[in-house]
Amino acid sequence: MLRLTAVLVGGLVCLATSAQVLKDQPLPLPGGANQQGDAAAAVQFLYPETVNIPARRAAQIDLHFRVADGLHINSHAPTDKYLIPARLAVVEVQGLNITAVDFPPGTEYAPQFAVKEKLSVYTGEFVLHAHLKAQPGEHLLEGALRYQACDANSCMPPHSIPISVTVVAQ
Amino acid sequence: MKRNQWVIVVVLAAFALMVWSGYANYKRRKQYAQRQVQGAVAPENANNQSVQQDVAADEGLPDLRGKRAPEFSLRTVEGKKLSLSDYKGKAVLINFWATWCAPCKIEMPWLVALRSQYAPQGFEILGVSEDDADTPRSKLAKFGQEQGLNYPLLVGDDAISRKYGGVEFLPTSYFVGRDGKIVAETAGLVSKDEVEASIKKALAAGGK
Repeated sequence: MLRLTAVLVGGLVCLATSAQVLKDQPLPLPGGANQQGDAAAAVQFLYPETVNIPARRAAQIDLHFRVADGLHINSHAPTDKYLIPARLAVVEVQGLNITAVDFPPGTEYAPQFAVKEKLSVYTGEFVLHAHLKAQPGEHLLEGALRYQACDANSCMPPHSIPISVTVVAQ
Repeated sequence: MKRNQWVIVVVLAAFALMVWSGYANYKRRKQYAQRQVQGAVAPENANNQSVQQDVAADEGLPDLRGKRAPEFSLRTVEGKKLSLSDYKGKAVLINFWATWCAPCKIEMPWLVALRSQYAPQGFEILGVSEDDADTPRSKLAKFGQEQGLNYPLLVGDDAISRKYGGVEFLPTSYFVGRDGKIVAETAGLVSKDEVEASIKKALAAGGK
């Protein structure tokens, strides 16, 4: 009798738990508008992972990024003083000197509800040109791209993604 | 009762619970599907609004409609303390915005006009800034002046964002009825007509 009661109670607990799990389970969404809200996933650093440059001489490396489909980020030179520009910050490393970073010009973008207002943005793939000089050896170029992403009707908070490139100077 | 009879009772009880659980889940999913359909038949930009609602739901923005608006107490950009409860009996639009949000800037002239139009009926807008905590109040105040805003601008914090579901998208708006309950919510820019319709709904909710 005791065993039977234990089985009964156990069964009820299991059922109640599974019912609660079903209740809390997120419902599927039609249209799959899933990725759009993730500021961290708005921009991706594509490549390079490793570059070879001549040692002790001015060199340039191209850093490739991609903005997720349906999104844009402000260019390095936004049209409004309040908008947050795309910026690259790099960590200073001994033997590796980043002298400048060139950002591409933005493309013009007119928001859906205000066609007169033009924004300067990056969409799709864009490339930054980093000018550098390095001592012979292997160096790790680390930094972060800060950006602020929007879609046609809404904006996400500013975010930074890390970049990491191994620079081999010979 | 014999042991066999006990076993039958247990099996039947378990079966009944499973049926109930399945039905409850089916009912909930059916209600959800109906809500999605309702969201897709709005008068303007139907597809767009539907996407906005989907995005809001996907980002964990809770459906606060029908629930009491979470209370908060914040400082205005001028430093004055202000609480939602100060507006008891009024219809309130809680509008989350930021200086860096271009769509927010687009809707601000609409909000100014709608505030002027409906304030005599007991309507107010509370603009809650989602700028970084280290943004000087003076910068927010200057922005408000440049936009000609005629409603209080509050300096938001993490606590209010959490209370209102995280506020991952800007602009995000909650329309609170006179009874203190949320009657509508939007994530992302919607048309002026939709904003006005939600204001009317908030004014109508809870009586005078």
